[in-house]
Amino acid sequence: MKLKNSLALGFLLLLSLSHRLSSPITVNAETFSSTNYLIEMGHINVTSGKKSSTTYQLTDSVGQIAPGRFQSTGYVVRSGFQYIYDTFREFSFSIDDIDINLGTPSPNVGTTDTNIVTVSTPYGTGYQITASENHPLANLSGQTIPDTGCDSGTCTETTSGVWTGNSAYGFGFNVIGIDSSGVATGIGTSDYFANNTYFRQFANRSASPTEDPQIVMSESIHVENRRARVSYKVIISAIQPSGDYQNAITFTAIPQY
Amino acid sequence: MFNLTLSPAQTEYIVKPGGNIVHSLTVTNNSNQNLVLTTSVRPWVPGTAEGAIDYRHAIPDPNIIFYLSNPDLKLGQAFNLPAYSKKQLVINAAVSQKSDQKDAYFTFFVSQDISTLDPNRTSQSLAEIGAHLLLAISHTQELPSQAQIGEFQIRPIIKDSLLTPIVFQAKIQNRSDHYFRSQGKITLTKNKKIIQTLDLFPETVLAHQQRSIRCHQPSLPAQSSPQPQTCRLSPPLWPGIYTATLALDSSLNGSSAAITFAVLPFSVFIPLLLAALAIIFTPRFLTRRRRLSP
Repeated sequence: MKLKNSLALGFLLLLSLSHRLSSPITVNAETFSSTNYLIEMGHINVTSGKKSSTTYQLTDSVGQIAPGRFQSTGYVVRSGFQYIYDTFREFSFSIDDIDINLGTPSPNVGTTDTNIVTVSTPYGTGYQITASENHPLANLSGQTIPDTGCDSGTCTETTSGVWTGNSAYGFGFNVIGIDSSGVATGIGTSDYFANNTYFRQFANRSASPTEDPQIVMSESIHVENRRARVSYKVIISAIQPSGDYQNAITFTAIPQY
Repeated sequence: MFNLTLSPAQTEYIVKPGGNIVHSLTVTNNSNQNLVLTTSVRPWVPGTAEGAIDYRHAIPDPNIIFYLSNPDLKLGQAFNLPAYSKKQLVINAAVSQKSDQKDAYFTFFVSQDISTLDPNRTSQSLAEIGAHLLLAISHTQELPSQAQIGEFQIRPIIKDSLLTPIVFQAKIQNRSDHYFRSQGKITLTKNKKIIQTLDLFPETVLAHQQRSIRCHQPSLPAQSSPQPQTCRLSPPLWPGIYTATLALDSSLNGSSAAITFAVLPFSVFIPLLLAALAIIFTPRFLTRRRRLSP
């Protein structure tokens, strides 16, 4: 009895298979349309995308007919939506707070403010961020706070130096790479600032001769949401007229080629 | 807050002298604030072999003129980009008939408009973001390439089979008048058998410049490793004589370079050698010391 059932089941399967093989196979592309649009789609994928954890990275296309990478002399075919990530070509840059509020500086007391810059680059591409000022800090009367020379008096727009004392006057900045929790890592910035005690001047575009914007953060690899904290610091002497001083700091972010 | 995205970040075009390219670029305001922005184009030259950009030494080319095709916007004119919105910018580059066949590199900038600064406020950060345009000015679509391999070397000098990875370094030199993408592979052989191949990451090598090589991650198929890494061979390796051959794709018309090197188990040898020396010489030393002591 069992044998008869098995034979019957096998016969049915064979019949079904032969019917399937003898029938023409129809492949339907999907088309959606209205009076205003027409979308012709070769496939509707069940899922596709980019997945990752600490130990793996995966891109997939499920539902695609013949997904994969096919290569021969003279051509490469990348079939499947996951390959869209090969052409991910966006470049993003943000500054979380564009106001730099140094308040009204008091003599021999350091006043600081910070903001955070974030950059994301296309795959395989690095970035560089330059900084410059339109002029040194100035009040409405035209009096200026000079750019800092740091503790040693030797730091410039191209060279950073330690600035921890309150008797070295001026205006300067530090940029330090941070992680997502705000902890200093120095990633992207250590070539320009050894740590957060190192400061330098902003390149002054109104100087004569003009000072070119200087790189303050860079990497030659793809990054996603790479962050750095920018610290602005001003210390004035007792003879510096009090009041509000201001300038405009420009950060320029570009991908590397 | 400033938060902008530009896409695409870099685009390459081949254009004939007297020709014109039309390039579309999308700028997205990811912030919750309206931004007043302006646009500009600046030429650049390569800064380093790692891809840095140098604007200082770039000389503007009067034979290439940029303008925007947007009906409501001119190059340099301020425009408002509302929060969470995007705008397509259509850039035209008109190349003069007089232009030489060469490459020209530019960055298209979208900048915060400085005229929006409030003079009564404290200092402000302004931001600008750029995307690159590489123009190959040529009468032909098939850009002639001429590549050369330089400074092919292997680190470290002492190659241990167990502990230290072996790193391959080289520079691809572009001897032609137009950019190309580095394509090729490093093949590692031992006793004429291929042990491993490392695919070069396709870096842009600009005209008459050089670029340091990087590789795809060997553990992943090329299309799944968008992040280039140092070309390296991880231990353990069998001791012996290896040959590393760096060969460029035939389309680059470049030669190949090869280095033969030995890998030995120094990390095992040296401690054993030191231990052996200690066993041999320590008793002799102690004996001699006993003899000398009164």
